[in-house]
Amino acid sequence: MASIVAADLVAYHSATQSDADAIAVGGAIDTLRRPDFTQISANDDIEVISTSASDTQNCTITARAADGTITSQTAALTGTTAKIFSTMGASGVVERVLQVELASVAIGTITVRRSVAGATLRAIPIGERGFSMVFRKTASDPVSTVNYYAKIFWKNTNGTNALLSAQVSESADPAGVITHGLAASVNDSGTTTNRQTAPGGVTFAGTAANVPGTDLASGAAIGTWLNMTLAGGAAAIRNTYTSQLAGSTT
Amino acid sequence: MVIEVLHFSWAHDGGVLEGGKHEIDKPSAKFLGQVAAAAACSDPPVRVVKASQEERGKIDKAVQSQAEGEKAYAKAQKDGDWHEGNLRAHIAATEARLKDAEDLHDDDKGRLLAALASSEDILEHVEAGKSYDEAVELVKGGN
Repeated sequence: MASIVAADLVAYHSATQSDADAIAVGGAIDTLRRPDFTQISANDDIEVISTSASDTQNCTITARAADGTITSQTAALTGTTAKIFSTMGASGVVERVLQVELASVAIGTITVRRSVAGATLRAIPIGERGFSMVFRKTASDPVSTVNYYAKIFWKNTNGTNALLSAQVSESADPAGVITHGLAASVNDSGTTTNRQTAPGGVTFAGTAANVPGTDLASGAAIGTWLNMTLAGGAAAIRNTYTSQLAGSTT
Repeated sequence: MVIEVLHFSWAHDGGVLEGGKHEIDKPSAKFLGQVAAAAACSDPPVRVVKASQEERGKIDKAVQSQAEGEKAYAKAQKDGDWHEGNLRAHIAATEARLKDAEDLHDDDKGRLLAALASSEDILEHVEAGKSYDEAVELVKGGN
């Protein structure tokens, strides 16, 4: 059976994302939504296109407009013809995308990209519902340090093989504001009280963390908590963070 | 019905609504579907404040449940349909990461280049009609 390749190791959101205060965050893996995509490099409008004519479901895009306001648009997709989301914000263009959510799973591979036919933000595989930023709508405090927590999962989607000596590491953290820590066991459903409360039993660091049980079995996922620390009065950040799951395979 | 737009603005296929409460007379089925889609998002742009039983019924049916979605996901993975999109997603993400590679260690850059080449080769075999497992074995075997 097939060896594990890089594309088999997939990051997913947890059931409750870290985008609002006063609700519990985390939970079990949400295999329909991903936490990673390539942000637009300049203000633009966004379009969505599928490889299947059957993709006519509603799609909601939430974004930050050039003036900083949060804006959104829901539109019915038009299958293999690109649907341009051009009425978000005052000018129709957005400064960054925060979330893309389909009303039902993709029938074909759906590509979200800059319009017209520009750089791809992400392809949504058949059977998935969308993607979004991990830390959305967060802000520093004028005086005190603030911590935010979010939970993602790394899943080994290979149908046969375990990822041996599996390890999660921080591949890049240019802003230097995020640390990570793993759940105590694979396939967990742990939550934290709210996004500003540290999850119990998780140790945060910038160093690589070994997956509990050493190997990540076929189909298994490891909860990966992220901690973003914003110093008092910290300036706005528009940056990336790269988490990595690595190991060996037969 | 009454809805509340929770963002600065929310656009639908019939127009744009600014943040705040809006009373909608005789909403169309399409509008109800788009309200349902928006309201089902994490951090929703729209909230239904008041709706008739009939409107609620249409809203409830307009969005696929998480359980139904997970069944479709499991089927797509089992059938192999999921892999092509996953490979395309991996290739696009890796290409983008390599374009902005100043903060990457040399080892990581090398791993990403190898992963990109591998995914492109596997996708080529999948597009030529091979199953995902066959394509991976062909690439791993150096074919």
